[in-house]
Amino acid sequence: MAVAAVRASLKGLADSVSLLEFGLLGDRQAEALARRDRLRRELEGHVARLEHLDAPLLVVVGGVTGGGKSTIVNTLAGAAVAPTGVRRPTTHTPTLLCHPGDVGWFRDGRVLPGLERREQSTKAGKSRRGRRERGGPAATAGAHDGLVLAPVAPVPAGLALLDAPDSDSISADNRALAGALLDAADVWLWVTTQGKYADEDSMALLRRARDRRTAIAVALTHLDAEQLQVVVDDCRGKLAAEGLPDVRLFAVPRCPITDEQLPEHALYDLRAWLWSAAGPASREALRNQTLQGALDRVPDEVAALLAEVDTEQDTYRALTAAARERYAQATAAFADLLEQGQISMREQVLRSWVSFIGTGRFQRFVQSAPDRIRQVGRRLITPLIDKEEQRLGEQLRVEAADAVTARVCQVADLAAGGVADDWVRDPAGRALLDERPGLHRSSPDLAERVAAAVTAWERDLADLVATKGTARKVRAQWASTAINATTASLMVAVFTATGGLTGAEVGIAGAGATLGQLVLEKMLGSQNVRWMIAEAKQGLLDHVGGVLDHERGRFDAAVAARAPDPDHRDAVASAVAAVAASRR
Amino acid sequence: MSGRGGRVGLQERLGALDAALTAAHGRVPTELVAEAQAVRRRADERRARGDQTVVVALCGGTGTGKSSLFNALAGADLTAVDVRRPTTSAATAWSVGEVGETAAVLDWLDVEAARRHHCAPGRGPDGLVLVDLPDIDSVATANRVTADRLIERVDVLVWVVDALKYAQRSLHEGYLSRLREHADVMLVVLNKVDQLDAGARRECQRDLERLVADDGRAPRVLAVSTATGEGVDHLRKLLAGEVRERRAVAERIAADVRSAAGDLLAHLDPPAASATGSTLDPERITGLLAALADVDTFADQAAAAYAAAARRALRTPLLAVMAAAAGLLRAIAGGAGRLRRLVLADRPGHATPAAGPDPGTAGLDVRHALLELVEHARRSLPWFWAERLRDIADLAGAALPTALKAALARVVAAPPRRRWWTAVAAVWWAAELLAAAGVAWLLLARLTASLQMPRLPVPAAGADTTVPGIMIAAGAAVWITAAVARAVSVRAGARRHRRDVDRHARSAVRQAVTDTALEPLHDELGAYQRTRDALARAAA
Repeated sequence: MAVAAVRASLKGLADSVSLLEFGLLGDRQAEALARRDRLRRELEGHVARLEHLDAPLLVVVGGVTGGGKSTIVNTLAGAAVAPTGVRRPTTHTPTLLCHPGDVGWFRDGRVLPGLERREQSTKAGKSRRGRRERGGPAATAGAHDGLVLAPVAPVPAGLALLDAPDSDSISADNRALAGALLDAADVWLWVTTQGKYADEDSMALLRRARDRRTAIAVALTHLDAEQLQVVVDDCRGKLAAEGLPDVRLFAVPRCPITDEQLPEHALYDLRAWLWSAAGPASREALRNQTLQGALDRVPDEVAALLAEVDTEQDTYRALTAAARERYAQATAAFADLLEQGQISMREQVLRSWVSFIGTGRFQRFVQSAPDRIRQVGRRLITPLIDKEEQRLGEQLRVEAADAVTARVCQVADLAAGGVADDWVRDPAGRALLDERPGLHRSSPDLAERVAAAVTAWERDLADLVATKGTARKVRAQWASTAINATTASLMVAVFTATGGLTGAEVGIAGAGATLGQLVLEKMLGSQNVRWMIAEAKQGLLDHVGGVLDHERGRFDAAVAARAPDPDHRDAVASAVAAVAASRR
Repeated sequence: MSGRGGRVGLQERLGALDAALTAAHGRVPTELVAEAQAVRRRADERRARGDQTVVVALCGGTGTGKSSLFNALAGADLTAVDVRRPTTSAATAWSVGEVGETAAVLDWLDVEAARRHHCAPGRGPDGLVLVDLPDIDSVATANRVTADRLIERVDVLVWVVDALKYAQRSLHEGYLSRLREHADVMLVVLNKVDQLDAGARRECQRDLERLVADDGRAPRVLAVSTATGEGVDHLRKLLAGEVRERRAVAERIAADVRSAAGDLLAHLDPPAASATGSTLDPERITGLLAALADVDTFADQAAAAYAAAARRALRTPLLAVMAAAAGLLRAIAGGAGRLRRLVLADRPGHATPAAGPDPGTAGLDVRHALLELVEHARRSLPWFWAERLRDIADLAGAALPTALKAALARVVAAPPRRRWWTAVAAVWWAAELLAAAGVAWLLLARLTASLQMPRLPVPAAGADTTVPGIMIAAGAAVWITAAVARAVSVRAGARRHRRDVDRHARSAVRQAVTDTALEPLHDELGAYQRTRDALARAAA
């Protein structure tokens, strides 16, 4: 295994993992993000460790609240460097003890990247604690303030002891920081007490260490001398039951504490073990055990994150499918309305158009040869007909646009409401709806959009008529009027020609249809009319479909903004494969 | 135990919770009401066992000294104390005095018979049942299950906290913060204070008081040491007071109800965006549906029918002849279609309700109108309740077209027969007869004169008028007046009839909308308000 390759692949994994956003997990997003960040931090820690394999062995002193972690650290340092106290939790700021010669390792970000550092003498530590105990910030308040470096001579070169905050703390910041520090540790020194060694919370953390094959030693503190052996045996049994049979267990009896330190003899075994662990061979062995164990877990951790991404993908699919379904229904509903002649124009408008067509003026005009019209005074009649045709055509167009708009708005409103109904059942969908307050309604400019679509459709109709009309060799002199009137006829035919109903049965609309059809047949030839109407209907459906697609697009955009990028998922998957390959 | 607040009676509180649960039934997701229902059930179970026994439970994490404290309070080594953790895995009870329900309560708490200890009154307050619970935080998770079950059921909770691990997350986040309403029936005991010096102890106690206050209404914090016996007497006295007052049973239940009702109420809060106005505006939908049912056409037709009926009733023979002639002329001029229409229009009848939307085709309009109707109200409800509103609107949408049709069918559009028609018609006939008689008289006089028959006398009625002339003039004057009066009054009558029909039709539409849609929707909104009000009362 090439260290550089592993490092590079881990770095790649850390980078790709940080791209995951979990936007569609609803209320579980924060939890997933925390896991992602923890994994990323851990990976970055591994990268740093692989880069500096000769760094001092990092022993993180972790454990339960009130276990005496800081007291142990102080005793090992031979000085009160870490604040102790009766107030729980005491330690907010982790203190790192190392040999003065090793301090360079920790001053920059080579080890434990991402934590601000402060160096301080033993005295400064005391005065800081003093301030805290005199009722400084509340115990649960705020974030930690970085890492305090305490170079002390008694610690041998090659060993660093880190006093972590309590892992079962009421303070969430403490818990998170403790977790991060334990992830970065080469060795855990787990401190628990006679009263707490069977706590579920701390056992859960030890199980995590077990799964990652982290090098662990346990210090059992506050032991009453007379019960010492019973408790130690019981504790060993409990650890064995959890699958940790050969953990090093150090018994620390209850002793009088002076200057925040235990008497020398209480930690004799522990000190001896730690000091020997600092030797190059044992250091490498311990570091390797922890590191390899942690790296072995990486695929599982990543798989867990990717499983969340898959959940998101499912949500994404479900939400977009709901939107697709509802708007497909809307489009179908509009098509049905059109087919049933339910795009209703006002009768009055139709009536005046029908009487215009029905008086026969237009028909005669169309039938008459252009030569004869010229003879009877085309100049007199044509402008009058043109004017009337224009007025009625415009009225008809406005009416058609209004009718289509009203119907499209209805189906679109129902579709938007329906999508919102479907989405609200899903926590992620609910979050999206809350995020975009107007989403459950049609977009405010829908009416204008529909009107524009109808106008575009009319232009298409005019083109259609013009093409077919010229194909019928219509003379240019009257083509413009004829085309307009024919287009209007075609529109009326589209809205009124209902499947199978005759004019008499459907009243004025039917009359319009019949007359329109007559005009159309004259203009375009009867064999073309049916096809033209079908074509025009399809054209309208296409235009309206476009508008409804745009409406659906708002929902799609809302989901897409939070949906996982499949590329990111693939990047993570291939990065984790690369890690596995580089470790082979 | 502080701040006894007995302002709202327990009975009232439970009644409010019942009302809320009834109103919420089937409307709120079951997982949200589960806790309140459990509380309600437990309240009945506990109350059935009387309030003469007061169950005090010692609870807390492993190794905090619950069992030692239990033994100290009981004054005997009743339960095993060990350094191995966790020690206690089943509840042990110590009861004082001969109170009838003690056994029933212990049965309900499911305390094993072998772990029930008893002593005569005098060694403690009569009616006290002290229970030592298993831990809540050890690796033996079965212990937590047992403890949780009892923590839900006992009357007074004494939380035993180790001075060295009082800031443990599982205690605060898992329990104390959930029991924020229970300060009245809770005590926090800071145990093992003998391991701290005086200053540290004070600091510790203050800090713990602050922590428990963060978790909710602060219960009292007591410093105790089982090892030295410090504070144990004080605790004993507090518990004795609690037992003597015999209010703990009710207070515990009240706290549970407050807590469960408060939690449920929080779930029922409207979405933050729109806090106000869960009202329905009936005007818009009524107008829309009236338009959809074509009430205007309906009324127009009724008016036309009225006019036709009135004209038919008010017709003299002359008019009939004139109308027929005019119609015939028009028919000849207008072609066969006109003739047909003329015949059709002359057929007696009244306005047929054009109205009533066709259920098959008006569905979309109706559904859209209902969507608009509930839109505003829905946004001021939590999503699951909004969904109910949607379902009701859907049902109403399916039923409304038929309901509208039925309602409009009941509107009487047939024109009424007015009494004055007869009177006017009689005067008119009389005038026409008078004029006709005058004309006939004159004609007859002229005829007899020309045929040289005996001359019909034409009496003069003045200087240059004759009696028949006066008859003709008077008849014509009355006839014309009657014709004008007919025209005016028929038009006015038709207008009035149109107004009546329109009003009736609209109120029929409104009624149909109200019955089919508004009322069920209002019921639903009312249920929401009732639930919230009842919960607010229960949580007060």
